[in-house]
Amino acid sequence: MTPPASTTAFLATAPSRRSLRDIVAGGAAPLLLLPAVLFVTILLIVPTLEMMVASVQTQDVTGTIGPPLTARHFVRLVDVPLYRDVLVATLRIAIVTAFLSALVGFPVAMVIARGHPVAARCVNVIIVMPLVVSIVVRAYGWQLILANGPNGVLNVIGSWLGLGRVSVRLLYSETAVVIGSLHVFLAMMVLPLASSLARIPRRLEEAAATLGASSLRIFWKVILPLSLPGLSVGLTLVFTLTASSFVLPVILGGNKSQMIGQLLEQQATAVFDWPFSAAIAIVMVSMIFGVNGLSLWFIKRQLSAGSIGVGP
Amino acid sequence: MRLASVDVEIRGLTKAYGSNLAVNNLSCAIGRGEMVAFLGPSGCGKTTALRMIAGLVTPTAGDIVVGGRSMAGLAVHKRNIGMLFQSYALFPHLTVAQNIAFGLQARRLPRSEIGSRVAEGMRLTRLETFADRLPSALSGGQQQRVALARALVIEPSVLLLDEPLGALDKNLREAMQLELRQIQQRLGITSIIVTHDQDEAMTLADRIVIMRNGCLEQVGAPAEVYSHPTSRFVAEFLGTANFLKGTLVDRQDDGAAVSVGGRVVRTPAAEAAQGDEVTIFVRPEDIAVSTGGEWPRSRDGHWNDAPATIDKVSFRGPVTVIHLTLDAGGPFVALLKNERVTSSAVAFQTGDKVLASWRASSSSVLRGASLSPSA
Repeated sequence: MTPPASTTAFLATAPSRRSLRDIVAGGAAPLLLLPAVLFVTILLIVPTLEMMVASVQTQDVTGTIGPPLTARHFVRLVDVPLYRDVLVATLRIAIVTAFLSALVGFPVAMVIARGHPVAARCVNVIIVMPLVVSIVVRAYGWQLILANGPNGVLNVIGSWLGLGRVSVRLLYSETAVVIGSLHVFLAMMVLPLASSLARIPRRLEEAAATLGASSLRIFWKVILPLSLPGLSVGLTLVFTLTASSFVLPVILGGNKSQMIGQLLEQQATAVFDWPFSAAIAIVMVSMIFGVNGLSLWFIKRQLSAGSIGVGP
Repeated sequence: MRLASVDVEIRGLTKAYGSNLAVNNLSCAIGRGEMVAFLGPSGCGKTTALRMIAGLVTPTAGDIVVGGRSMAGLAVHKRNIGMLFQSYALFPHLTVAQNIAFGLQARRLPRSEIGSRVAEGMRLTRLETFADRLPSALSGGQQQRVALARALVIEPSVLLLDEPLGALDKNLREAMQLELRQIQQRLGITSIIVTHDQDEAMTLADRIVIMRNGCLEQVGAPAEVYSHPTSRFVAEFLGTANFLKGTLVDRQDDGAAVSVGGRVVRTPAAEAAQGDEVTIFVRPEDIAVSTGGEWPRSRDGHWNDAPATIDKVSFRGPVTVIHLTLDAGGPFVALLKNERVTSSAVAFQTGDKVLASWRASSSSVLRGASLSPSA
């Protein structure tokens, strides 16, 4: 079959479009990717490898990093109570924040997914708004609210209520870090959760109700299982961001609640123990990857077991 | 049809959305074990009415009594109602058996009883081999059977079906209609089905409630509403209908005469008074088409013969549809059965001058010349 004359003419008059496509389809694809590949290789892959190598090497008194190979930096991180406490505190703060964000975020996500359109839009804006404000600004905002002196906003309110001049001392504690993280990262829980909830057909809840299920039962047996994909994404995001955060624990946690980010910064820029810093960084990244992997595995298992989201 | 005992009674049910009445003062009684169809075009309020019975929509006024118990103010999950949705509404994260067990678990029945009732439900709907499948691994028909089993195992006081077969293709839908009807009759469960498909309503239901603009238009057995519609709307909604407008000129106990364009047409007894504008209604299959020389049917009783011209002849397999224009004015449609033994019946051609004839008793008289324009 030969193409009609008009088609042939069109092809002849549009050589540039064809040739560009040919370049991409042909052997030029690697060439087009080269700048990005170079960028990532030089600035990410090589330094990461270097860091991994450094984490198992020794630093002598002159500060030179080299052989012999050793695992003692990793051992030290787990063995020394001070560092172990930092690891545990980091995990604790991140897990508590993720859990609380689910607790606080679920009703909010429900309003966005199921509420009156106007209410949903308003809540959505309120949740997303803080994301455009710098995290540093928000952290200082919380510092003002939680301040331990009589001028802290919470304490001022407390004294109005007759609770005494200084009724709460929250700043520079794990609680302050959790509160701050919860506020800063709540959107990361609410948005995926709301999109998951919005995908649950209303008919499922109606069917469950006609079958005799109370609202509470509908929530536990229908809504919660079907919102798991969004919930897991939210938990993962909040956990990751909290565990790896640096600004919030510095401003709100002070020295009392050291998190792994702060420890890393101290070891790298104050102590100059780079092999140990490298080990900390590797543990931090693997810890976060581990939790994310677990979460993804969980979602996949749920998806294959329940084909969530595939409604008729 | 006499109702053995009333099981569901709807009294003055009304639902207003702002100034718009979705359901307007709907009242009807449904007998125990009866299957009633709410039939009407989309937006006629039939689904809203059904959802009010389920408790998913709160009525503005009126009451629903099921088994002698008023449903007013009773939460959905306390009504003991089985409901089927067009989208099946199966729980995608639960297997077939878990879906069917859902209502039983909500009732906190003992595990052994749940097991036996689920098995019974799967047997009834021929789903035994699918117990551990997820809904996504089932076809539409199988999914709706799961939904049916799920609704039946809770032994509901009434089964509500909201366009349950609407998402299925034609052949499967017809097979499911028969299956649904058999199961419903075997269990003797009082049922209400909402549909916009008159064939489905006539196939499934003992009685049909025809609705229009939120109001009840006519209630009756399928044959009754089909043959004796009380309004032009019902006549047209249930199938093809022929109408003749005229004036009642003679009225007696056993029949009436209507003047249509100067010709007298005989009809059954009418409720209209002499001089009233009326509409005569005849179904296409009640019309015989002939050249006048030989009558294709035995002509006992009163027959009307109207001269007409054939506009179009379409062969449709079992039947031939003939579009005519009556000399007295107006289009007419006749449906002739294609029988091989008398194949000569379909020898008509466009432009033929013929007689369209019908027995007076097979027509009906609707009051008003322009009673409810076609919707």
